[in-house]
Amino acid sequence: MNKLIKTLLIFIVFSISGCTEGRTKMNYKTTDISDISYKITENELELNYTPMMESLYYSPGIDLLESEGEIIIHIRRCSIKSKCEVDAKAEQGAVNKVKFELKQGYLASQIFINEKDNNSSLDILAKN
Amino acid sequence: MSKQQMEKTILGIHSNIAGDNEGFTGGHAWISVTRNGATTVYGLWPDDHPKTEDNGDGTDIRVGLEGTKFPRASRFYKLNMAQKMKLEKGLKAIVVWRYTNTCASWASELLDDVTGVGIDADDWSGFETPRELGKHILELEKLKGPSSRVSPATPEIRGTSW
Repeated sequence: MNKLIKTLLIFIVFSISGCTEGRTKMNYKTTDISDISYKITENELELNYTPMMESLYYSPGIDLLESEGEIIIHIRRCSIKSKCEVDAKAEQGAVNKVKFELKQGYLASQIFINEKDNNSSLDILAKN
Repeated sequence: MSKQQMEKTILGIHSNIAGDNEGFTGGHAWISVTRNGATTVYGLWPDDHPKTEDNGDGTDIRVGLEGTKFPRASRFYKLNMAQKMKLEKGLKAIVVWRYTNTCASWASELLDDVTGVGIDADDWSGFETPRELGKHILELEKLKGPSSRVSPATPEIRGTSW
């Protein structure tokens, strides 16, 4: 294919996908996250995780919903070209590290990733 | 590990996604090289990715970022001496990540240059993607038989692949 046409098509594709990403926040699926570990104290949770490696996306951190004695964590996925605001930013290393304050004490079984079900609680998903 | 295994160089090609149900721009593709039993991974990454260091005009071939996580699709080839030399030369080249030269383009083209095996990564509009590369790696594994670091394939003759 003519290189100029190819470049033009790719520019259009990425312009469209860039607009779409601006409107929606994406999450990493639980199956795309590995090496989850945590430390809970009375007023802080430290969460470590490794998202699937992607050359055009990364995880800037997490958003969390804290209500009725439970927390649901969303591990965010963003384009490397986008500015993504998150509740708690991740340190970018071999493993992503996030720390955030808790309003009260929680057990790992009261903290969920992406959705609230029996297989998504931190005590089930974490390796520690 | 036997002495014969220790002296082998094995080139692996990997993608952490495969097939059209995956995102067009998602995932990643890379290569691994096992020399004398020790494996090192290499991938092409843009300078502005938060996991990489912006090295300006330096090469975008980064070492050791991928680890061994999520290799949804992998194929391994045993290299002869001439192929080993081609590979080492290719890894030392200055390669720049662009939308027209992605991680999938680089991994696929390096494998082709070194072994003569063409595993197609061309997706819609000619953009080379990890999902397309992964799909063809899995097809090749099924058609030609599975490969591994311990039991690598011998490079197929050009034109019989994808």
